[in-house]
Amino acid sequence: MNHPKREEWVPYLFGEATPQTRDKLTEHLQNCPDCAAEIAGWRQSLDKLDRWKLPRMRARSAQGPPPLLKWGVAAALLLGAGVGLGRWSAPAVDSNALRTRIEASVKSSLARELQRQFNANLQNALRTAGGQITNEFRTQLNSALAGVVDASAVETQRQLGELVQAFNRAREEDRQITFSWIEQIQKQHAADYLSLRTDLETVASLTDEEIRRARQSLNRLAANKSNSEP
Amino acid sequence: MGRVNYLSSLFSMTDEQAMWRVQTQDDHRAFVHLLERWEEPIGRLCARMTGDLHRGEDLKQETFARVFEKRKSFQPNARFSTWLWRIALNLCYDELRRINRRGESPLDADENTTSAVVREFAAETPAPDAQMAEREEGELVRRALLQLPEIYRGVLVLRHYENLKLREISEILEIPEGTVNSRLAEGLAQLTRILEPQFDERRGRLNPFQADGAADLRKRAGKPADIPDISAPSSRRGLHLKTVNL
Repeated sequence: MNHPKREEWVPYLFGEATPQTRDKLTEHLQNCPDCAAEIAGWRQSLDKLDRWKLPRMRARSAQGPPPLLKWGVAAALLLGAGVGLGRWSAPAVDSNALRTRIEASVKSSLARELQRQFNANLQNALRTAGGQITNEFRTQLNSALAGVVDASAVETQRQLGELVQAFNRAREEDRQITFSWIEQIQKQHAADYLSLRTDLETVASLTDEEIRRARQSLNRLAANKSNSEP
Repeated sequence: MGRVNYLSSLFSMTDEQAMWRVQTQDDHRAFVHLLERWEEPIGRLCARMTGDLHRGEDLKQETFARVFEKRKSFQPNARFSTWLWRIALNLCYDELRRINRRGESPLDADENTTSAVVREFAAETPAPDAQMAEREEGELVRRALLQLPEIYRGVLVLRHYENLKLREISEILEIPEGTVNSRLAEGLAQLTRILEPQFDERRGRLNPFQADGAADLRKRAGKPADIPDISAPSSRRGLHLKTVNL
């Protein structure tokens, strides 16, 4: 017989097979004891999976009693029930043993709850404390910053003043240097002018002399010419 | 009045709309809305994957912290639930790897389980015998699931306990649907091989006159050759006798 592949049974088992496949596989199961046994085993395993139940794990909401209280009530109820049962059912039931057992487990879970509660509280406290510390720190930091800013403003003013003074001083020096330079240059100019002038005068007097001499020689030449020509 | 309108709009909001608000406006009320809608299933998934209620609770919180952290990377055209399941499942895998590295065994029925038992006990106590039996069987199932490789446990938990469709699971795990099917088949086969003898033994112990038919069925079914035999070591066989000790 041609057996379907194992994975083909999966959609069938979970009700996701197409109608044709479903019919085909159902027919196969009716004719094949091997496959029928295997699939029956799988089905049983799926049923068995349901035996593992989880308690509802809804997170503790803001409403509703706090877990500690709930556990307290549960513990009280349990203890009451245990004691009552023990009393009522006389010697056959070892109520003490029962109670110590229940007490032990309830105690341990109470302790755990307490621990958790304590942790939560501690964390809250830490958080708020952290917030406060941060605020305090911030204000201190602000005031310190403000002080620093003020101080630095004063300092800046002072330095600016110094800078201005230095600047003015430098400018004054500059001006004086420039003046002295200009004076020097003027003196030089005057000296140059003087020497130039004397030079010019010398040239002029020399030129005069020369002209006079030229004129005399011209006159002499003219006299010589008229003497030679009758 | 505005507040009432706001709250009623929150109430009728889809997950994707709420996530959009969280993403774009850091709207903490929308986030609380998502949290309230999803914390129960996510907590169940994490508890079932790790076999531990308290660890499940921690992982659930970590999942939502991660959702808020990664809110900007949520794709607006994606489905919120798919994204959320994926984050939770990956965190579970990480945690299981850590547990393995530390060499702890989540198989041990620790005080957490005891406290869960106490809680159940405190809630309702109709028929102690029947309840006790059911708790013992529940413990067997918890252990059997923990013995399965994680990839098989994951698909089983999502499909059976959380009732997700095979297609959704393939989207969450980002694997083809055929792979989901073969993982489920393998998971169911292994689970059956672990649980069947244990339950048979239990029933035999509780009611020695009743012969069980399951063993015959098992014999007739035979075992496919490609599956390694992972039936529980003998030391584990008697565990269920002492697991519930209230």
